[in-house]
Amino acid sequence: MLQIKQVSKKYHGEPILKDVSLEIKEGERVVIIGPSGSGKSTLLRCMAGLESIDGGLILYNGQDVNGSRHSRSEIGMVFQSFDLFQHLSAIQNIMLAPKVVKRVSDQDARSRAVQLLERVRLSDRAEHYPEQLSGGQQQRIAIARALAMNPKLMLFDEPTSALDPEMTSEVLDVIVDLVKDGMTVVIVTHEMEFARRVGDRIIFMDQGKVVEDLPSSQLEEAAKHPRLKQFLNQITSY
Amino acid sequence: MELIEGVLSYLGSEAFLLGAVNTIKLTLVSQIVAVVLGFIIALAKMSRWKPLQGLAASYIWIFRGIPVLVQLIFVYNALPQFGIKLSGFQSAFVALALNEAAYMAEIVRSGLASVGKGQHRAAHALGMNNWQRMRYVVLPQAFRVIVPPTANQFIGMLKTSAMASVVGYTDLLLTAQQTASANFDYIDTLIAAVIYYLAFTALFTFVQSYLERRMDTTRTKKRQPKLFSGLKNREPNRIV
Repeated sequence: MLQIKQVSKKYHGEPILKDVSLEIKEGERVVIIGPSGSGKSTLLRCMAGLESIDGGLILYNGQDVNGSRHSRSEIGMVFQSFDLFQHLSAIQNIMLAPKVVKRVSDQDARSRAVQLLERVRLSDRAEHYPEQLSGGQQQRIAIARALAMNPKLMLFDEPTSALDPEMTSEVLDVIVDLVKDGMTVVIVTHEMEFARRVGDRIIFMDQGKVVEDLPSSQLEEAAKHPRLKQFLNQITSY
Repeated sequence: MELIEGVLSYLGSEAFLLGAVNTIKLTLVSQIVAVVLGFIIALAKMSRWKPLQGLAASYIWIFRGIPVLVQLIFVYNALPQFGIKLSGFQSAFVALALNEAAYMAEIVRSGLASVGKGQHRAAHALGMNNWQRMRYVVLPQAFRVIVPPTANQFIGMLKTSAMASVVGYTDLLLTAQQTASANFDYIDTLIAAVIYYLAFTALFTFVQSYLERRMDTTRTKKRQPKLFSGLKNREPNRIV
C-alpha cells in the first residue's frame, strides 16, 4: 500500500531521515516508537505528502505521494496539536474537506458528519467551536475530520501526547475502534501499553534510521538492539 | 443664527453635495484598490521566492517612506513629463491607492501570519489545494485580524483624500475653498465641510463596529448562550 524507498531528508543541513525504507501493507497496524528527534514524526509527515524529501521515493499504491493530491486524499492524518479549524464548529470542521475537495453536497456531508460524530461519541458537541472543547474532544473531532475523507490509511502523529492522562484513553478508544474495523494505521506514540495493544508491528527509530522492525508480540524478546533496550527501560521505569 | 443659517445653506448646496460625493468616491475607490494591492504585496512578501520578497519590501519602503503629498504632486506634475497625463481625480486615486497599499500590505501580512502553521498543515493533509486552503481556512481567520485596522484605514483615507484638493479635484475641501474665495466666508464654508467629514467618519465608525460585532457573533455569541446563559439571566434578578 505504502512503499518508502531509501528516503532521506535534511532540515537546515541537518539530516533528519537517513535512507529509510519501509513497506506498509493494507490492514497493517504499525506503531513507530523512538526517542524524540529520531525522525519519526518527520517520517510520518513525509508519508502524508506534507513534507518534501531530499532523496528516495514514497509511493502510495504506486503513485508518488508528493505529486498527487489523489493519494493525499486517501491518506488521513491526525496531529499532536489537533489543529482543528478555529473558525468552524465541530461539525463544520468535519464537513469542510468533503465539500470543497470532493464537492460532496452540503446535505450528504452533513449526514456523514453526523455519523462520524456518533462514532467518536461527540454527537452532543456538533455545534461547539474548538476552543469550547477539551483537548480529548478536539482530538476526536480531528479524527472524525480525517475520516470524513474516507481515507484508506490513517496516520497518527503522537495523538495523545498533548493530552491529560484522563483524556488520553477516550482518544485511544476511538483509535482502537478504528483498528477493529480494519483500518490500516501508522501511529507514532509514546504510549507503550497502547502500542502493544493496537500495533501488530513495531518500528523503532533512532537518529533518522529504522533500527528495529518487529512484530509487537516479540517486542521484549526480540529487542536485540541496545538502543531499543535502553529506550524500553527508560520509558517503562516510570 | 446667521452662522447656522449660512452653514445650513452650504450643506444643502449643490456644490457641497457634489464635493461630498467626490470625497467619498475618491476615498472608497482608493481604499478598495489599496486593499486589493495590499493583498498582492503581502502575498509577495510572504512568498518563498526571494526576489519577490525583496520587491514587496522595496515597495513598502518607498511608498511608506515618501510623504503622500510628494507622491501626489509627483503623479500630477512630474508624470506628464513622461507623457502620462492624469486628471486631478486620476492622480489623486493613483497616489493615494499606491501609498495606502503599502500600509494595507503590512496589515494583511500580519493577519495572514496570525493563522498558525498547524491550520495550513491540516488543510493540506485533507487534500485541499493552495487556493482552497486560502479561501476556506486561512482567509476567514485572517479577516478577524485584518478588518478592524482596515476600517481605521478607511477613516484615515477619508481625511487624506483632502489632499486631492491641491491637484484641482473638487472634493469637499476644494469646494469650501472655492466658495470662500468668491465671498470670503471661510468660517461657514469650512464648517460645512467639517460637518460632512465628521458625518462620514461617524458612518465609517458605525460600519466598523457593526463588522466587528458580526465577526464576533460567529466566534463568541453563538457560544455564549450555552456557556453563560445561566449567568446572564440570573444577574439582573440578583441586582433587583
